[in-house]
Order: sequence, then structure tokens, then C-alpha cells
Amino acid sequence: MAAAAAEATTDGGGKMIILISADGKRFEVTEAVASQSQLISNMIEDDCTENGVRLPNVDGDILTMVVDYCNMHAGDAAAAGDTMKASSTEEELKKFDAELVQALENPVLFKLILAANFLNIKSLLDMTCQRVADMMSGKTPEQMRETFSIENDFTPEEEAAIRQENAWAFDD
Amino acid sequence: MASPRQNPAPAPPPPPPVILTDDLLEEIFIRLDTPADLARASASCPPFRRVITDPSFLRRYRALYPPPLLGILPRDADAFLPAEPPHRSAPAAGAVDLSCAFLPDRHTWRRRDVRDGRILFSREEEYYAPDDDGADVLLMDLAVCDPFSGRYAILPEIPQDLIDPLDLEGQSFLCFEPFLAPPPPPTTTRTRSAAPRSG
Repeated sequence: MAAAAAEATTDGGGKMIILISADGKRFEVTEAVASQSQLISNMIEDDCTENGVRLPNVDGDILTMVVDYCNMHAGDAAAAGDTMKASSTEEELKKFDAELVQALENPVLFKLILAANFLNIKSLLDMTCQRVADMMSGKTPEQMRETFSIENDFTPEEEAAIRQENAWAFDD
Repeated sequence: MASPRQNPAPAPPPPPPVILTDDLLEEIFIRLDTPADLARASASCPPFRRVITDPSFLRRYRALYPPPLLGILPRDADAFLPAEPPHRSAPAAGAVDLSCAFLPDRHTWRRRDVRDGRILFSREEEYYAPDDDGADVLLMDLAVCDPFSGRYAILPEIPQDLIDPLDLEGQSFLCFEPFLAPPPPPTTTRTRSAAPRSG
């Protein structure tokens, strides 16, 4: 099935490949869309995508977002753009990106960061990391711990010493 | 299988938190655009602190975000004119002891140079001592201070084998101007340097 799909072509002539998530969901995308992932781009160059690309680190729900993102941004990557149906304007892209990351619960956002890193999609990694940084901005250490769902493993003495050293950052 | 004595089944554990690697934490922290955010993040938990205080991260951060202007140090006075509200550096400027009062015997030290948030002091006058041949030898102490943390390092003496090749022709080290060298990439070791004072 995958092999047959891999031979298929889109209206615009782009070759299709199949991405397979950790939980077995299959996504059919053009090579141009998938090539925004440097990892997959390298695999396409090495001719090893015929049987589908298994992505054991990426769950289906996360891969759905990644594929949506890549479809939206394919216009960026395609040189002429006339083979891509997603020839979105810059404003539409910005809106799409903002809505994509702002709607996410933190565990999902972090999973998206991991996926962007694994797939090596630099623009998505930039955007998701920036989103987390924006969430940390102006927060106290306690609020940052909540954001990341992390324990405070400092001893009270250690934490007091760090706060003392950087007291100017805690005044407001 | 259930028996009256059996404990109730434990609640399913919450899903494990998503763990970001140090590399990815670094990608996030590098996007915090104020040093105050970075300082507060470093107080959140030990892994954050480890990433943020790593010298290679701090070098990268400093290359992206030039150190904020905290105030003005007049060249020939100990006075410090700090940034004042509403300047965003005002809280940090207020916390800095640019006089470096924490340096022992502070009154014996003279400020010589400032670079990248470090201040170089020297003291020399009281260290003149004749050597075996009766010539004046200057033993100059140098101290590098971090006015933010109140830490300082008194640099080791210049080894004699580095002094010997210099043709001082009776001049003392007072003719030399110590300065903080900009870090040569990729290392940031601050070196003790001396260059002839021009003019």
C-alpha cells in the first residue's frame, strides 16, 4: 500500500511519500512538503522513502500538527510555488503559526519541540522555543516551575544563595 | 481475584513529564531577552541552572544580547552614575557595587580598566622594593572584580622569566598600562596583559 502510494503523484506532479507515526498513523505528503524536515530531506536524497518513513519518536497527534505546519509553509520552501496548493500569504502564515502554538497545552508544546528537533525543522523549532521563552518572560521562578511542571530540587539554602546573588532580578 | 483485604488499586500514575534535553532547554533560554528572566530561570531548578551557567551558553547569550548599559564610570574618578528609572537596567544598576568596596584594603587599589562587566584594579606604590642589585623592582598586584557578584580574583605575580626578556632600561612597570584583553574566540580566558604606555 505504502509502495503504491509512494508512486502516486499529485496534480502538480510532486512525488508523494508516506510518513508513519509512532502509533501507526499514516500521512501522505508531497516530497516538497516533507522536505522541510531536514531529516526527511536527507532520506529522500538517499532514496530510502519508498516504503514510507517511520517516525518512532513522533505520536500521530503531534505529527498531524507537524504535517499541517509543513503544508502551510510549503509555499516558503517551493521556489516557484505554482506546484503548491498552499501558497499562503505571509499574513495568513503568521496567523496560522500564532494560533498553532498559542492553543497548545504545555506538554503538547514540548512534544512539538521534541518532534521539530527530531525531524530537524528549524523554523518550527524556532517558533516553539520562542513560545516557551515568551511564556517564561517576566515570571517568577515559582511560576516557571508551574509552566514546566518541574520540582524545585534546590535546597532552601541553595535557592537563597542564588536569589541573593541575583537579587536585582527579583525586586519587581 | 478481588478479596476484601486487597488494597484499592492505586490511581494510575500521571503521565511522565515531557523531558527536554539540555540542548533544547538552551534553545529556549537563548530566546529570553532580558538578563533578569535568565537569572530567575536559573533559580527555578538545578537542571536550568546547570544549562544557564554553562560558560558556552553564556558566551552564546552574550554574543546575541550585548550587556545592558548599567551606568557611566568617569575615567578618573571612583564615582558611578547608575542607570535610573525608567531605564530597564535601573534595578540591576542599583544592585551593583561598582566601587568594589568588597575588595580587601580597597583604598590601596586603583581602577585601571573596565571590560565586559569586569573591573581591573592595580596597586603598586607600596610594593617598591630594591632587588639584590639595589635597583628598584616593582611588584604590581592586579585584581579583577565582578561588581555584580562581589567576587574578585587577585592575579598571580608575573613570573620572572616573563619579565627578564623585557629590556626595561631602568624603567619600572609603572611605565606599563595593564588592561583587560578582549576574549580571543573561542576561549574567554582573561589574560593579564601589559603594553607599553604610548607617549
